[in-house]
Amino acid sequence: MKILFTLAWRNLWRNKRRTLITVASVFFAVFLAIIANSMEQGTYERMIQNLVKFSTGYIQIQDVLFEDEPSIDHTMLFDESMEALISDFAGEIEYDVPRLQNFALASTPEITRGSLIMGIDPEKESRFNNLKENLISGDFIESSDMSVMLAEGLADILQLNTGDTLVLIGLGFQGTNAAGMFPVKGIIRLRVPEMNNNTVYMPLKAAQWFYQAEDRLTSLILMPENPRNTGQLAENLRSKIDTEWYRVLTWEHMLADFLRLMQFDRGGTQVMLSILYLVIAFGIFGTILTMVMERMREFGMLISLGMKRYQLGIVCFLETVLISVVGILAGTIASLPIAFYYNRNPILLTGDMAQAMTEYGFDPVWPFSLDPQIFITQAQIVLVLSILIGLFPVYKVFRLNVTAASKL
Amino acid sequence: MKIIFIISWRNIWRNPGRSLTIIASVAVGLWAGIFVTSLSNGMISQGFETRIQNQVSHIQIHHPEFLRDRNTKFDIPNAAEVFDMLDNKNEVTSYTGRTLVDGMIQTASMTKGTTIYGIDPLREASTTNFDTTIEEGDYFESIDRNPIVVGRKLADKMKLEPRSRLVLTFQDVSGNITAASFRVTGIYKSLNTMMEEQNVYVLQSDLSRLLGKDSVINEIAIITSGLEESTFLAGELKEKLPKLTVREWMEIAPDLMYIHETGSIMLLVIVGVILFALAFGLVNTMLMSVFERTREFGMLMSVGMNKLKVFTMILLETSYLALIGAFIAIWIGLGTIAAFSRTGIDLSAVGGDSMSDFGYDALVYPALDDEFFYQLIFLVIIAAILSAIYPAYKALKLKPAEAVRKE
Repeated sequence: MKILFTLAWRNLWRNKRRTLITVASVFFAVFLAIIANSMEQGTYERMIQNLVKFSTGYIQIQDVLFEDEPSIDHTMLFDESMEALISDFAGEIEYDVPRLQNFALASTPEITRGSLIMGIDPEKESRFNNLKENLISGDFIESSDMSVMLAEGLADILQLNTGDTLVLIGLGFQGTNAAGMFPVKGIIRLRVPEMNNNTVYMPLKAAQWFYQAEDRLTSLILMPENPRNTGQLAENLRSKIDTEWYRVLTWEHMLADFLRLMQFDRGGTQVMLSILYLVIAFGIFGTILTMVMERMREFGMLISLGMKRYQLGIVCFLETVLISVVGILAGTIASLPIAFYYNRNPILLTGDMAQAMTEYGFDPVWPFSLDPQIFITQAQIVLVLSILIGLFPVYKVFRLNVTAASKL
Repeated sequence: MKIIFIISWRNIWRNPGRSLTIIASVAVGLWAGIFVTSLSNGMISQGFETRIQNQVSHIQIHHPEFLRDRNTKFDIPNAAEVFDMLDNKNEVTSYTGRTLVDGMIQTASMTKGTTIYGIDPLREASTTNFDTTIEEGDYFESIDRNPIVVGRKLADKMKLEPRSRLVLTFQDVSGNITAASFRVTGIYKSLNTMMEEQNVYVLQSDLSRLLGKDSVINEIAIITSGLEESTFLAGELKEKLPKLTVREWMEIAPDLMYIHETGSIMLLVIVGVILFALAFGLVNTMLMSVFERTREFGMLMSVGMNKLKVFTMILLETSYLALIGAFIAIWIGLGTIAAFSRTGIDLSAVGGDSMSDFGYDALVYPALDDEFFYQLIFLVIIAAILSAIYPAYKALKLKPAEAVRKE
């Protein structure tokens, strides 16, 4: 077996130039595929991380009806029994983030604007999304305050500053009227323009008082100790919780639309890369075809001299596979440092593209992914292709007419 | 010179197996490239058209302050005058004026923020085809008093159906909070689900009455007969209406400009990458054919064929291989595009609803400009020339006397 391998390797270098060009084509395809996939996957990983870390969290507990009809009436009761249930899982949950959010009209004597009220636990919320870092004036609210923080854009529209008073009017729990006056304690800058123009932060207790929804939340975000165990943790919670009232959602469910779009987009790239691989496969096939045709006489001789057809078949097969393996290795080795570099120093976008991304709420950066699966997949694809192509010379060898070939 | 064309042509058929393999690889590679390109081009230009025709329009006019602070009091004071002006412009296909109010929408159990559009139903229909997007109910027909059209997504969330009642609360022009009851006449479907949830449409006359002012126009949207006309008209309007903000589509939605500009370049990049991969095969095929013919080249040069002619011959052989492949690809490509351009290709199985969240239709009609094919042929010729250089160089380096003796 070892000798067959040596033979195949030496055969490859009998026509160095041809082998190198074929290897170069495999190299090019693998290199390009790795870079394209790494960039795309890295960008999406970052987006998902952004969404999970700043908006949905890994797990949310909600009232069963809330997702379908996000009304203040479909808020969940967060009482002692619920707290006890959560504390049963204390070892697996790093922290939780309670929220009560709903719409209300935000008014000053002159201006009225529809706005999103976010009732939050200031400390936990800030631990979740670093909200404190976005404070641009005034002070951050504290959990016992009866004051609010305004998003910068909204404060600008309402022409309010810290120390001014904001009037909120809305619909409370089960049809009650919600109305209240709150001093503005701070101004906060949010990245997404739409949010920046309509968000009001309020301590959870104040929001529950305002909406007359004592002990109620629209959602409880749970951040697991180990994000990898999200699915398992969600399962365990589901088995303990009263499923008639509560629902446990994971980020995959909450971001389902986005994940589908991502898959669609990646499908497009995969189609492009398959075309590339198809072209490369033709190239390899062309090389192997000429190699076989040139050596028909040699094959006939070798078989006459007593080499078994299967041995010769193995040699030819190995030659095809070796070309690909060398190409794969070279492509992987060349792309690694690039992927590694841009993984650490993501590409910064500028201009219209950057603006569009910011408006959707993402960082305008393109980090590369170092997911080993990317590298493995390319190797697998090329190997499968070369194995298929390698069957061609094997077939030729077995069909070879020794007498006719020797006369060539 | 003519003879070299004939020699090269015959040469490529001396090893038909090898030539056909490379031709097939060019044909298949480029055909696949053309098809995918036509799909993504179709998707991009459909998305562009839809955004312009149904959403953004070519030109929008606002009060300058309105863009900063979406307050209804910043209206276009001389709207009637502007309408008159637009009526006399040839470039204008259609236009409409809208009243915009940010407010709150309420049902018995739910409250949400909303943007209320006060529209002139006929004009809106001719400008954005809004009437064609009604999925359930009708377009301001069945309800006499305070009809409202809401989006599918909002209707689902708030459990609304035609004839449902809801309350809109907003601020009138004098700053008082006013609330009025409306009845759903229709439910619209949009390619943008965010809009579907945010925007509701009522009659301009109803909204003006509630706002307490005769006619409040915050936004004028104009559809022109084409992109060039739009730029021309926008320039003219900017000059004539210095007190208002006139914006063209690329200022309103910068991402559209990005799509418009980078779209066609991206397509050429895709084809360029495929051609680059094909070039490897071309170089290899030609190199093999040159080395096989070492003796023959020696002979040709000995009997007086000059180097330029040898070079031309190899260049022609490469070009034949590449161009035959390319023409087959273009021919089949045009066929596939024609076949699917009427029925369209339904990508909803792979993309699902998420495509429409970002403003794309799942039914894609493949399309490519003629210009793309000219560029493609040009690129193929460039690729052929580049792939011919190395093999030709190898052939030219041969010394006739030695080459002839080569076994």
